[in-house]
Amino acid sequence: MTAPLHLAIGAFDGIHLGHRAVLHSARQAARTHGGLVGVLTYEPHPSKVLRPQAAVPMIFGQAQKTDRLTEAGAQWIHYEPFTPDHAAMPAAAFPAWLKQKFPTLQTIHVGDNFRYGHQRAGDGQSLLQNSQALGLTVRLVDAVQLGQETVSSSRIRQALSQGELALANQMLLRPYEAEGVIGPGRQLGRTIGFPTINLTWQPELQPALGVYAVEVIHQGTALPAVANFGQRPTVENGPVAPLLEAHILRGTAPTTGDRIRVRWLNYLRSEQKFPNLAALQAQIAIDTVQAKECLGLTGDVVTR
Amino acid sequence: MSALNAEPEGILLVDKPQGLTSHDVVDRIRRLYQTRRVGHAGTLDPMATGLLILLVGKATKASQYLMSQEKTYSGEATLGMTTDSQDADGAMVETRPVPDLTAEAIQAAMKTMLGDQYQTPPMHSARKVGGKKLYELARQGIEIAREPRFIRVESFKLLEWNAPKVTFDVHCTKGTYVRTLAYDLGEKLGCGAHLSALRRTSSGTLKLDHAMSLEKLGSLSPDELVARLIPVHQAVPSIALG
Repeated sequence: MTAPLHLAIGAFDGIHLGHRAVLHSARQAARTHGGLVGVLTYEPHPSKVLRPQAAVPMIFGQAQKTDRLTEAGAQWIHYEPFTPDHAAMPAAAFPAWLKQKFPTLQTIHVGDNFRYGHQRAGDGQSLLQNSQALGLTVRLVDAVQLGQETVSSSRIRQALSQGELALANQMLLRPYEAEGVIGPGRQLGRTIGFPTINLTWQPELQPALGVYAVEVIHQGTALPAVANFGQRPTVENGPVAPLLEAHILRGTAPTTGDRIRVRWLNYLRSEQKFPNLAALQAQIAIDTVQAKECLGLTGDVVTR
Repeated sequence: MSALNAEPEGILLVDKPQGLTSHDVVDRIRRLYQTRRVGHAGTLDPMATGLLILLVGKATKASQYLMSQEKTYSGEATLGMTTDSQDADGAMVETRPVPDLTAEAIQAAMKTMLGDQYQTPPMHSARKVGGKKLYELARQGIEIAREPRFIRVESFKLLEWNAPKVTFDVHCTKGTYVRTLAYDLGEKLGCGAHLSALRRTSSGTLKLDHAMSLEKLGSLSPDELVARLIPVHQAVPSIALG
């Protein structure tokens, strides 16, 4: 690589408005001075190495992260393996390590809460000071405020786990998504008039169990759907790993083995146990109407 | 004419005494305000003291918002002994010698417990699995798999180390079991621990400083009682009431 590098550094879990502001800063630098917009991030997340029993649950896996970083303007992404050795690097040595690793490095862009080096001893101010001698420019980007709240990955994790999907989606800019391959189901849904597709998907950060209005994205087409993410207490005996099931409201449903993305748009209700299948069936009918309203499907459209 | 003739409505901040369940406090407030419609926004264990938020009359509609708020507590963990409930109300499980620890070593262990994480609720908790309360199963000696819950520990600070007692302040999201934090700290330090005291100091913007003891509430006139109620709109943004 010979082009000057404008590097955004961070954990970037979620690629939320704050992360996008950091990437925007790098994009501006690349536009002004010429060169590439790069991202330096860690894989695995440092907490998985430093405290494996209580690691931070990630909002997105690496594939989705790469996808969103690229969409936000990253032209080149480096996943640095986070090792105990790397964790032991003194903060003062970090800028020199960057310069040696990325010789064409010109500018560095980080959020104002960025910490680095052994025991997170380095912060934005020290990065500014330690980088000057190496001829590197550092831009500290302010956190983004949304209403009363500061946009952060942490707040998004909390919002998703509590069913505050609207807030999470606002902070993420691009709605929350699940990605995976359709697996075989128990084919119980079709016996009550609501056939579903089932997604094999086990995110680290589990969104609130419940019913959502979603779009299933399959081969470039967005299919409106109503989805359940949960343990299906009405049909299962005892707790099982949560499953993501979607009933397509309009269009041709994808089939087993197809790769899809599920875009979560509205949280409708929490998961509950019904006394029998008929009661569940009645509730799904209500959920379906609600989901159609959320997704802008008018009542007179015939589902094919 | 008594001010209690109209149904009272509002948020009441009580400093819960040790030994009462949160529901005991609800019962007392029902009698004081002469209404059935009283609820609370987040349980404190019998052993714990401090801020209990009560919702009187129509204020019960604010329950979901108030329950979702972040909490702060002051607490004390006793090292060297674990109990089945992870707090001082439980039966002893084992004792281990407490090593010579510096305050810095304890602080370093506490620091590793900060941030976003999943916490597995203790068996001795009121959480329901398959319609059964966990502690009912625990009393029969049954242990089952529990769904870990997402929590965040915003801060966890050592106030005093006076072996074997660790006094601390903690700021965490709703649903965090502080006794599990105490237990985990004990495991990190290698000697085990249980929570020996807990006092809730705030929930969202509501502070313990503004709470009143049950004794003091009991001595108030009906008009004074009504004056203690905080109108819902002062504590809860209208958007949260849906």
